Amino acid sequence: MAVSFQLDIVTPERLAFAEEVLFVTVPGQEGVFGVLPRHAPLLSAVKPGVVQVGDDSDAQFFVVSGGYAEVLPTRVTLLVDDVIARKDINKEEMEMVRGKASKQLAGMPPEDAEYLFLKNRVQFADACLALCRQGEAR
Amino acid sequence: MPSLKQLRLRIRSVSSTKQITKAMKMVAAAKLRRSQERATAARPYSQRMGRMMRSVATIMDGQQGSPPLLSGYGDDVRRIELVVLTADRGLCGSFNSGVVRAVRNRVVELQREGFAVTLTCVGRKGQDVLKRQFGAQIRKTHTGIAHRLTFHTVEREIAQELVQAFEDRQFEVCYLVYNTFKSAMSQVLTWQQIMPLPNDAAQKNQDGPRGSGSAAASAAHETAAASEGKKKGGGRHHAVQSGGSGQGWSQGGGGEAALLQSMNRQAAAVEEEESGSTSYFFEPDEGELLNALLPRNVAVQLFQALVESDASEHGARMTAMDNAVRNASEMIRKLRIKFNRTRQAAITTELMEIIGGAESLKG
Repeated sequence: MAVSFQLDIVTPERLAFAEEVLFVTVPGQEGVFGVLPRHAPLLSAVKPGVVQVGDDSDAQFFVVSGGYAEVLPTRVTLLVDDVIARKDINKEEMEMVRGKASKQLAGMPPEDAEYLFLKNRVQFADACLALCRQGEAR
Repeated sequence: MPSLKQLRLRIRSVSSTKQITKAMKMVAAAKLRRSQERATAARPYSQRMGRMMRSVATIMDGQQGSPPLLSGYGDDVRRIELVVLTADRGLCGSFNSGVVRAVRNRVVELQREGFAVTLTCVGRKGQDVLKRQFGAQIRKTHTGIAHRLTFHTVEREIAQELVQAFEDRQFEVCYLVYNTFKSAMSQVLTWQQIMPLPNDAAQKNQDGPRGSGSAAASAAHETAAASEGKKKGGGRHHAVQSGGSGQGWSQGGGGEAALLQSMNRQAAAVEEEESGSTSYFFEPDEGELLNALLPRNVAVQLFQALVESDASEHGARMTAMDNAVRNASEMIRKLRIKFNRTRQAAITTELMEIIGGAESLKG
């Protein structure tokens, strides 16, 4: 039996990714962690960052915004607000998103209802841009 | 007897009505396709959220100081909030009236039992009707949400306020009332408790002995994979047949309620197998995670209900408009027969007169 597990990346709007995979890294709130098959059950908050699916040679990259991860021995589910595959990232667009969000964010008190959402957006865009640069450097 | 001219006008007016209803039907069909996709696409998230919620809840259950969103305010329930999801626009058959009627009956019933009931109306149509009878009890009204139906707007504009009101103890229990989308032809009126988190563990135990035995359970396992797409938030929905019996929709609702229940049972069976007694590691710790998850879950369930209701609305409108087109065609057919008959009568009379005149001249 091939040792793999089911990975689902789900947003409120759609099921973005559902495949059998061998390895995934998740940007947990308290640090990035990698998951191999038969991982112990874990529930973790997820912060905006890069999700790497598969090993280095044929890895796929996604950027997720905040959410939650449920890890079970045969199944990993990422419940996130937004997700984008590396190939779908549009650099100009992301810079615009980032600019707009950070402008709105400037001068906003942290207790504002929108604060966390906007901060999340900025971090999400940052992660996207960082991933782009990393891709170009190679 | 209407004159020929009057008849011609009637036919023309009915034809143009038919044109309009036909156009509305097409528009509804196009919108339906999009909403339906969205409703289907949103299901995985709310299902998994629900599952995750339950695993955390089971662990936290019975612990001291668990938040009210999880364990409620105990037995001291006096105030009930109903969140009524209707459409902003009419002309969609019994879509709005079904919800409103159910709510009205229920509110009266609850008040008789001594509960205080408050309402949140999402959608203009529900508010329009309910404010006549329960004007003072409507806490909040949201309209136009269908145009910007994203998770974020739902969470920010509706869910956060609801959670806040619950935590301020303006009410002790909160239900959603909405139409679940089944197909373009049928919508299921659904009552769903969203706050506090419904205690499924207790329900499951009750279900076991009362359910149709282990044979059904093992059968459920086989069909479970097929129903994966259909199961709705696993065991948390209750389609309730409410109030007045003998009304068409509530009879239909009864049969569908049974169907939903059996689907829920299947879902519960799968879940028990999958994550029944797993003990998780938590990161950050479970209390903190729970405090973030609970309000979010409310928003997720609400969002799911809204997309379901939106798809149902378009389905209901499409069906209603289809009926209207058919009725118009039938009416045109009848009018045309009448028109032809009247015209023929006029011609015959005229002929008779001419013949009569000719005869008298010959005389």
